[in-house]
Amino acid sequence: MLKNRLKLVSCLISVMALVMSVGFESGAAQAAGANLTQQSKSVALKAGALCPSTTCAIPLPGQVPKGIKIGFANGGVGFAFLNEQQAIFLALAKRYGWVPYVLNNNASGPTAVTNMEQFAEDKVQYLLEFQIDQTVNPVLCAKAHSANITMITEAIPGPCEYFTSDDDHATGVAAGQKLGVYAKTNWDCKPDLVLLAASTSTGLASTERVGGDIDGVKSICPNIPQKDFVEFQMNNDNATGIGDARDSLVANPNAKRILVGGLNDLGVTQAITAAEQLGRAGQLWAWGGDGSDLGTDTDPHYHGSIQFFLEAGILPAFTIALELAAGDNVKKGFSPLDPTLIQQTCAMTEQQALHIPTIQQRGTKELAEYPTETAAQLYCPKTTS
Amino acid sequence: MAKSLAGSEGLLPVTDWSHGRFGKSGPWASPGVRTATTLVVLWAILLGVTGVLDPSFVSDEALLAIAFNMAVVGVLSAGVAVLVISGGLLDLSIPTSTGLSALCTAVVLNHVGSWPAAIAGIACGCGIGLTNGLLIVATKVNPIVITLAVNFAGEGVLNMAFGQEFPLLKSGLHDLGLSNFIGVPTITWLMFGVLLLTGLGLSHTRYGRRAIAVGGNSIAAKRQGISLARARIATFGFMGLCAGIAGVLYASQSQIISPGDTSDLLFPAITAVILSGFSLQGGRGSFPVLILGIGLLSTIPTSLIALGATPDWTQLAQGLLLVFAVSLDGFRIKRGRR
Repeated sequence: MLKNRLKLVSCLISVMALVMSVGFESGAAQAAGANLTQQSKSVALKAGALCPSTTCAIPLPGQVPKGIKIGFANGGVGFAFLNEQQAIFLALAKRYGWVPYVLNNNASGPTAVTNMEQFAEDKVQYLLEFQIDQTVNPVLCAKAHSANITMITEAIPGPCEYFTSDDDHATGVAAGQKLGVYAKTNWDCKPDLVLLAASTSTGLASTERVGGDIDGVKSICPNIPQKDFVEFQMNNDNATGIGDARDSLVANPNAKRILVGGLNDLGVTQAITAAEQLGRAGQLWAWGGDGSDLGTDTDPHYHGSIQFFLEAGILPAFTIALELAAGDNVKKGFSPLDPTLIQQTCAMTEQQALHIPTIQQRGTKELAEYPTETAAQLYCPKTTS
Repeated sequence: MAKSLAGSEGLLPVTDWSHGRFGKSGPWASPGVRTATTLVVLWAILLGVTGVLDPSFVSDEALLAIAFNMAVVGVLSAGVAVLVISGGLLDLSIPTSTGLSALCTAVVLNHVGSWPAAIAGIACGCGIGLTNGLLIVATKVNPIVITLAVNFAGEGVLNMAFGQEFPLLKSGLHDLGLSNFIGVPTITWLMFGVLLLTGLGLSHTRYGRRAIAVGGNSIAAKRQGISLARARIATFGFMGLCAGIAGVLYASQSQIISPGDTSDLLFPAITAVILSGFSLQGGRGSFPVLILGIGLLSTIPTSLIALGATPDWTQLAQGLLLVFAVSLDGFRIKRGRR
């Protein structure tokens, strides 16, 4: 954790240093007849934007070879944010003169493996992979490696070379602290149950985020007994996910003051529905895990979430591909504990989320501002109280 | 006539809701009663052990949770049961037909209202079911292959047509999914209604008896002038109807729906039917016993979580139960041929 923080800080410092050198470099370049690469790189980053390489510079169109074949394995076109990611991907590929190639993993591990074989057959050079079923990622990485495809996994890690994600533990802590503050303010730090949505198949991302939730709650209310933290298995199938949450509530029949958090917003809404079905939602207070339901006015018990700007998740992955294509020294990292690039997130109340643009509008703006400003810089609120 | 046709092959249909025909040598010697007894004993052991190890489990809330677990799977099981009775058929397009129905419901719900949404959802399910039936009759290809293909194609249609997740607006339908009546969820009452009507329909209507006859002995049924093609289309259409109702019930308890949500519903629906003694050779099955099967299957997750186990154990237990039920069915068929 500390190591991550240090890396984050050092990266930020290098960005600041780069930004400070911008004016000098720009002027010098122009005066010297222009080193286009340096000039563009200097424009590319603002303070707070994170970078995957030691040069911390994102190539602009014209600075990387054209005609590179880049693939995007869409995790499942049923997800609105992934549809937007795909739109951004296609627009970016066009901007850089690259050849885009998209296949749909359809939230299925076996489909992802079949798609990987297709990417290999069509000689894709870089592949941005959003794979929901983590269990097949080792197979995907091996196949990509043998086909000389540089694979950049997004959100769900695999043992490949490059990975970009949020800091799962930190986002969990941020959500947990919201739950903790509510418990402290309203219940004197004495909730009866902290019900957390987890997903075994999502692997370390779930472990880290749910672990962060617990750490976050305990940072505010350290004396909540461990037995009061109960995890249930959320599931994309609502009937199963709601059922597991319901059964967890039945197993804790005396719990009235209930906090709900966890891996993602879908799991959190499943827990809310379960409690409503059992007539146990009276004192339930929920904070989501990934912001996917923010702004949808889902349920009065759902008060906010961690805004991941999921639609923008493709941008850092594309950035890594661009820097690799430009020959930059890109940091290797395939674990959520030490990724190539960390994406910025922020806690956001449901009310705040109702006042920011929709996913599609955000995607358009984020694409327009790329690479100078990130989604977090554009939309994160100053406070979440 | 249908019953006598089935009986001529030694496969007495046990489909009556209220007065089941349990065989020639007394009710206790029949497979229906033995299956029912086995299920009741297993269910009692499960509830008893859980109640002893965790006394708080014995509560109205546990009953409510189990009843909620039963609703969607129970409605789908009614359709699967009819398919199995009418010739040991299976429909692998259940995930798509249920998912499409749920999404139709969601879209219409957000734009029109609860009742039109329910009708649209059921119509979507019926459409897919009838498509299955027509394709099977037209191509004469194994129903498993056709329904598998329809499931894949349906997934594509779902993704293309809907393409994204749907948050559902608060509505009367949503209230229905949360409500209960005299301690039992309203959607579970609806499931009981579907099972009751299906059981009675099979034993008391001409179409139902024909479906049983086709399942008991299709050749004899054909000789008696029963159209196998019509029977196939009707049974798959009924499966679609059940998937449509299940989709509406699914939507009623969901705040967000996306394509692919319902992929896990196939296994428990089929397991419940086979566990309840419906013969995979067709012509045999009891709807009262089916309720026991659905109840037992739906109690497993609630009991295991009360005992501190993870949902993975539920999958293991349900899988083992299916193996047990299929083996038992095979054993009965083998013994019946002697």
